[in-house]
Amino acid sequence: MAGSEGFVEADNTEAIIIRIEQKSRKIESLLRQFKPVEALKMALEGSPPKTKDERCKSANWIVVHRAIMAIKDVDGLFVSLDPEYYDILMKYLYRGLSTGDRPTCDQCLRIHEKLTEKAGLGCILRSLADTVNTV
Amino acid sequence: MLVGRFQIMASIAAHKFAQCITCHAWSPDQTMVAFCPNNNEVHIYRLVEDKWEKVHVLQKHDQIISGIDWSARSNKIVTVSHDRNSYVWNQEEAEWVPTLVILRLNRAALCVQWSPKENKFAVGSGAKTVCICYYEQENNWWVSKLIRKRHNSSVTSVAWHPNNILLATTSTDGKCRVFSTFIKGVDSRDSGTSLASDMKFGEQIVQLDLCFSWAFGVKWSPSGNTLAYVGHNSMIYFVDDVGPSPSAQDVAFRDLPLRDVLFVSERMVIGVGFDCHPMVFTADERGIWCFSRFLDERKRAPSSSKYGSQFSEAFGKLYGQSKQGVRNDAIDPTKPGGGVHENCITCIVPLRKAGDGTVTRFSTSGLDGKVVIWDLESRADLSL
Amino acid sequence: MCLQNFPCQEVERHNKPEVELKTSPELLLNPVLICRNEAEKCLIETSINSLRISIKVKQADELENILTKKFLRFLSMRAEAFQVLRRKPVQGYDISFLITNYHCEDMQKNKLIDFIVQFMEDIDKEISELKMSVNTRGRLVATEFLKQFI
Repeated sequence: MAGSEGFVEADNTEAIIIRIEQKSRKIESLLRQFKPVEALKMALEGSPPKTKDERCKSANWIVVHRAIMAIKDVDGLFVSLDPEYYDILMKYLYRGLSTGDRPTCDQCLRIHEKLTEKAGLGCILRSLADTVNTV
Repeated sequence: MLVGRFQIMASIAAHKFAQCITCHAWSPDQTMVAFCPNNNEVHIYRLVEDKWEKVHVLQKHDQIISGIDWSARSNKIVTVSHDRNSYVWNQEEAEWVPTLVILRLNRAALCVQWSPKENKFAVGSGAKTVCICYYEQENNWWVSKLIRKRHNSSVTSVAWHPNNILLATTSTDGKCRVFSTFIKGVDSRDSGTSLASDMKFGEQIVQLDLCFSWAFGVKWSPSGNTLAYVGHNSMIYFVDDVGPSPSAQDVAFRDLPLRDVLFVSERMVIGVGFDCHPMVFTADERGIWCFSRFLDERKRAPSSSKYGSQFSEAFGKLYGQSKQGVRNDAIDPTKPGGGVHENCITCIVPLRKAGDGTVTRFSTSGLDGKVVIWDLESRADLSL
Repeated sequence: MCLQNFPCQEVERHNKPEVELKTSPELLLNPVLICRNEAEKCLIETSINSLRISIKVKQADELENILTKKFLRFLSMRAEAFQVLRRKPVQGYDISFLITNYHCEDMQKNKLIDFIVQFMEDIDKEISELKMSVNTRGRLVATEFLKQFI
């Protein structure tokens, strides 16, 4: 029984990885068209992957990271980013802040400040308190 | 009648009783308040000629008291404590006489509530269990029956359905559950609704798995049709048709999480918690819930004469004189005016008028040691 | 330096900070790690009744490293005076604060946060001042020592 469940999980993992790869290609093309906000929305779509598999989570993070780093105009971002993305974006910002990579941290801090202003402390609490759907 | 929206102030009286209050409850006639000043005692104060006088100190517990409830008809106080015990206090002439209730717990008791008929009370505990206690006439003794199953973590809050049978609980495992507490010989079969009456004791009616964080503060609406509880993830959950196929809504808000809620009507809920400002949630005609506003937006025009009751005026006067109340109001720039509470609000209690189902007045207490009374009666927008 | 006010005044069950015990995983929240870079980071761990903030201070060279260690050890040994200071830092960090629900009952939360943010801002300054004074003294000693050869 346990073996078959493991197989289903693995199968699922492959499917998720393929989806993330497709997403990544779409994001690249959006970035080439200078649509960073659309790219970020696309990246956050379907995140976090509904799995405990760390490989999927990392793959998705790489995609989201790419989109986050492409954001130049933070104020402009929040003009067009809908509130439904706030909670998931906050989770990825905290992931970014924990990497220790200087440019990533700077960028995440900048967005974090604006996002907190927009979405309030409740948003931070939601990203902290959700121990089930981690990114 | 130029009654603007902000003219109708909700907070009518506040008094700082202690450094910190864990919980409080009112006497049936609402002239006395019982609270725990963050230690092992219950202090009872009575308003005598515009002054709060300490009339009783109930000492029996040996650890901090986590829950107090004062029954409206039978005038009994039940207390629970981290020392794992519960006492039912009965007033005999001038004294409050305690009766120990053996809860059979091996962890702290966290919350308590009398059932609507006052023949039972429920205790939530850190032992991941709920105790339902009832009185056995022949033995002159309170008996505790345990609901052991289901909870995977501490039970943080309990709420009785108006039918006296169903009990809702919240737990730090994030779930809200509803149980039947039917006890043979205590409850009659016809007392509950059809749903509740054929349920055995301890049977779980529903488990609501909406929250991914700790759940606190569960309450039923006055009719028992809607259930509300809060999560530590700054969300509040509303559940209709509690039963086999419940319908649920969640509302995320932008401020710090809530700790407790109270239905003032079928379509209005007050939430209190870490934000120090009570929040108002309302449902529209379609039953869609949303955050409406903060309750203690600062009064914009003088209208103090509107609240004519002597009680409230006396209370108001005392606010200015309270020992540590003369603190410099640190006004949070993000909020419309400084609030009445200065620290986390942990408890909200209705002040019911005799023979009236709707709640227009209620009180809150918190870690700042204040008890604040709020009045919605004069609010023009409470047309629900 | 980014620090949010995380509420920590909570029901406490065993009268022990859950963040230290870590006995029930459901009573812990996701820990937050905030880095400026590899050398400077801040870890915030939250539980139902307590939270722990651990800081790793920038240490550019050996001297700063020694100074940081000595200075923070000096503070930690006097942890009682600070109330919220943890006697031993969490592994991998230079200094840790432990805030429990009791602190939140006695103190104003925003003051507490201000204190910690202030502390974090000051520590860098403090260390560089110490470094300067050590360097100055070193120079003086060297000058005095070399004078005999003139």
